Amino acid sequence: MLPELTVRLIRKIAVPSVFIFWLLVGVISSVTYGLSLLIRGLSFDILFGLSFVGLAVSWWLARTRLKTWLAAPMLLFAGVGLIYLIVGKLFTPIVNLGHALWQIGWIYLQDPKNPVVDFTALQLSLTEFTQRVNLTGAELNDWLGSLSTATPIFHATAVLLVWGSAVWLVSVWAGWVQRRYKNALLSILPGSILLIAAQGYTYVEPTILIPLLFFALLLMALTWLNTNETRWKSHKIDYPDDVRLDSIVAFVGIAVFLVVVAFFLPRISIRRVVEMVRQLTNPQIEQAAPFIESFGLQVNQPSVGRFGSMLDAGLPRDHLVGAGPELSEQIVMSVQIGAGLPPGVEADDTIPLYWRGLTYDLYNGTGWDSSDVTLHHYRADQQVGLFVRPGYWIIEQDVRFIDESPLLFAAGDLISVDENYQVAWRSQPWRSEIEQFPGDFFGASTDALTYRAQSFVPVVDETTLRASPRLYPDWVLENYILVPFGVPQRVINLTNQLIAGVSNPYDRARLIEQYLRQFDYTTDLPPLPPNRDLVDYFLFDIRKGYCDYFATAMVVMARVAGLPSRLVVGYARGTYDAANNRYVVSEANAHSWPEIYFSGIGWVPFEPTSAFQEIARSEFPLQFPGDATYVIEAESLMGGLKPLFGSWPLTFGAAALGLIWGWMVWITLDEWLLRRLAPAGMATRLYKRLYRHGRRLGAPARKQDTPHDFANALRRQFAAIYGKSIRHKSVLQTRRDILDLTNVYTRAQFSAQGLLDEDKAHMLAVWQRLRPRLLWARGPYWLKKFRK
Amino acid sequence: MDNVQAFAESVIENVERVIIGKREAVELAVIGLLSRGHLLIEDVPGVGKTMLARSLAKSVGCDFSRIQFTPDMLPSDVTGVTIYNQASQGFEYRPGPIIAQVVLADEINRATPKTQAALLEAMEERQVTVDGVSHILPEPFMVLATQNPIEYEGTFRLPEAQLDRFLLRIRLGYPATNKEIEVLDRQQFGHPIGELHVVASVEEVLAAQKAIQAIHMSAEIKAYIVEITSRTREHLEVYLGASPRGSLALYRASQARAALQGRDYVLPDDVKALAVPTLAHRIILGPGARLKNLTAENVVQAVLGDLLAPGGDPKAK
Repeated sequence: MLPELTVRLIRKIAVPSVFIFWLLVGVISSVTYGLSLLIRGLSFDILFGLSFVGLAVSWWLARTRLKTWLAAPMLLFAGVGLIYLIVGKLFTPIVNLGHALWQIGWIYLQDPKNPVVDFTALQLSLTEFTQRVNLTGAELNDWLGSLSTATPIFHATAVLLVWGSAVWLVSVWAGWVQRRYKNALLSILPGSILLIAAQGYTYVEPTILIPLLFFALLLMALTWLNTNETRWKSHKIDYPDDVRLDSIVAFVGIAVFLVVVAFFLPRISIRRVVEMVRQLTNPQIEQAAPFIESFGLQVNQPSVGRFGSMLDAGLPRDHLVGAGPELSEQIVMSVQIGAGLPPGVEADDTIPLYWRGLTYDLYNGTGWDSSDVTLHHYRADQQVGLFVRPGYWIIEQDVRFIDESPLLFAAGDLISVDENYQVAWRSQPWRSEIEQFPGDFFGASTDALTYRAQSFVPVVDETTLRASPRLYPDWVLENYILVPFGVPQRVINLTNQLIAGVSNPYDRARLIEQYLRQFDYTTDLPPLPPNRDLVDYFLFDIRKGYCDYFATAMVVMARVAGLPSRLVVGYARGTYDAANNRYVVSEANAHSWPEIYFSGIGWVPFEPTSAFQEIARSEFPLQFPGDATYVIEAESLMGGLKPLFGSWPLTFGAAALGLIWGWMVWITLDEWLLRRLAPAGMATRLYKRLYRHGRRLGAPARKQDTPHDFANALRRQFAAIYGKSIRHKSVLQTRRDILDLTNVYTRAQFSAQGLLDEDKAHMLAVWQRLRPRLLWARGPYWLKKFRK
Repeated sequence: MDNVQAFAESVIENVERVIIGKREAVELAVIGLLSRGHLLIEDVPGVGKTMLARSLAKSVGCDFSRIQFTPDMLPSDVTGVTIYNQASQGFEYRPGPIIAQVVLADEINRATPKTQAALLEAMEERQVTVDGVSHILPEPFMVLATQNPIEYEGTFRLPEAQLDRFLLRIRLGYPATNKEIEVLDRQQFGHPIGELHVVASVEEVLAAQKAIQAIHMSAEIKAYIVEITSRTREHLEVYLGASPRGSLALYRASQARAALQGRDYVLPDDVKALAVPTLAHRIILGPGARLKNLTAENVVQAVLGDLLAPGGDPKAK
């Protein structure tokens, strides 16, 4: 019973072309799965989706009569475009844009005479779209720049772009070659080479090649069978129907056997071969290693994470101080401030912004710990808590990470993120009374490399800060005001000396800050001797250090002065890239700073580190219209337009390429549709178009004109348009083609037998020659008209 | 259809050796021959009306006879008479000039209506009746009547019913200057008609006449023809429009023109080209038309200009 069922099933699915297609999908998915394992920052879903689309499209196109030279650039453009959309996360903006356009169109449709159109949505979505495209372009620019300076960096976006393109090309090639040329080996060759090369470089177990081997064997066998069957049929050789079934069973058996053998037996020998190849090419590879690494390929060896326990161990990290600052210029992320800046304030190098990562409450004498935290998951766009806070702005920031990051960074207090995210709370906000308790934040994280976060940024003036009473809520008193056990007495004495006679919390904080700013900044430090308190060692022995030392000292001293304080790590503002309106944050911007709690206001950052710019606060309250939130006014439609790809020539180039691509797609689709028509229908369709071209070229058919009258008029018009160059070959050809098409059309309309299928090919050939020339002629026609 | 085209082309070429620079008129004459119709050639004297008829007859190897109409002509001068033959002791029929394959009826409007009627009966019935005995006319039979424009003195206007029997009315017109010089050159040493050869046989003519009946005409074009004729009847300035016989003439002539161009189907262009020659002489204008300087040709042109041609651009204005 069961074998019979299997036999029937195999008969059913063994329809040659469908079966071969699924085998190709198998090959491609083996390749993409292998690559997604081997390459950092690549996810299988995206890679496989991309390759499946590529395979399906080329599989379908190979069936049409599209020429290879036309298909190649078309598919290439389509692939690059698609990957760009994925990389730049452009789907949503495009949908938004389409929606806005549709709405406006709808309004026009409903009341074309006096439409009440609101362009705000369109402008906003357009701005968003251009911003995203700009950002992606800028990222790629960064990466290209890093390649050219010979210090390549790993860049997730670029990796996806490069490998995505490779995978796309490989799958398009596979589909096309398999279907058009029936050559299984050639079709899967590039994909296999790609995977084997990546595997060979990374030293990963060659087992990831085994699924590929299985599918490739089956595919080749089946293609061979198909080719033979066709040959048998054409030579009228009699063969039993069961050949197919028997062969498939045999092939599957052999393939499984080979796979099993490959899995168990020859690992050592493969290794040896790989080793040999490696030794032969070693010098070059060594040289190229940084470049290759920038594409996400890494030599698979046990490696200590670059960020040590802070990034590897996740939340919370135990020891901050002593880990040493990362001073490399490697770019970490870029941040673009979207909406939210008050009128008159520009995003630039002067506003104080700190990208907050983690906060710590416990000082242990040599470093920082956090009290226990609980992790809470939030859906995309779900708010942690939003309420009106005086002296705060709500800003929107588009953050793009170059590499995966376990942490989520945002300026000030997080409100929401447009991706799924988690927040680790020392204690959760009370959602019903969030104004009383907005939560004790430790850190947040998201899997997304790019996200848009909303957050509160405190911009308080000195008058308000001074007016803040020294009344603190319980949760602040419990965790943030206790002087850590073991802080030497001379630290306490020093602090008391500093603040003597000053009672205002803000003034006390300023005094400590100013005192610490006199110390020198350096990263060249001896290690902390055992059994010494870090703050004591810093203040009295070395009297120099980097941000961690300054910040730790200030937090401890502030607590001695009775001010609730904590340590925050994250990134300083970074450099402002005016061309793309974003902050570029590099590893050198990694920073830590103290924050002091002010009653009724919240956590306010201070900057004791002498190497960093002092935080400027205005003395008196800033005058803002309305409350804390601002709706940014949509820029005017044209004013908001910026070159999509960084510069106008590039944008126009891209637009031109896009147009060419669109034209090619249109021609292909059009040809496909035309071919589906009956000959007479095709003739009518084409002639209708010729009539339209005639109207556009100033030779419209009059009512009484027969097709030939019209054709003659159009030919005369052509002669008139081209004047002296009428003898030119192409003009003559066009005139012949017009007549030719007219003859076919009238034959379709008026003759007894109508058209044959052969006429379709002829008509198409004529039309494909004619159409570009008809379009081209509009140029000289308008020129002539304009001159008159 | 290639045979018909080759045949027609050779005839036209041959005729053109005599009638220079009048290809259209020659083509129309051949179309008339192929559609088994009769031609009315209307023009001033001396433009080659007679030569056209003679060279056409000579080219296809047909009998040719010529009747010069005068006001004192009697019907029997056309049809022939029965006379008593003393030798055979009986009456015998002495055929008139109408008993020929190509008959040139020169200056038909100079004859009295009675004589004209005798000719026209022969044209339509393809037989003559003399003293109660009918004589079948030979095949092919074609009358080429010429007439001077009716404004000239001493003419009798052809009755409408009789005009209707002509398939086509042709105007030759004066030749262009260079063509006229060519005419002079050709005739330096003698008339070229003497050198004309027979290029097609009578059988070929009959076969071609038969062949054009098989030319396909789509329903759309038939409707177009009927629409044209019916619109001539509805025209405001027209007293009497074209008859169904006019539609039939246009139908037949269009088929012939298609064959002449090597097609086995009729195009709207054929109909348009032949509408004036086949229909204009059938239309009688109302009294107002002359005041407006309107001719029957103008009326047909106006009708054509107002009709959407088959296969034309539906979006045209």
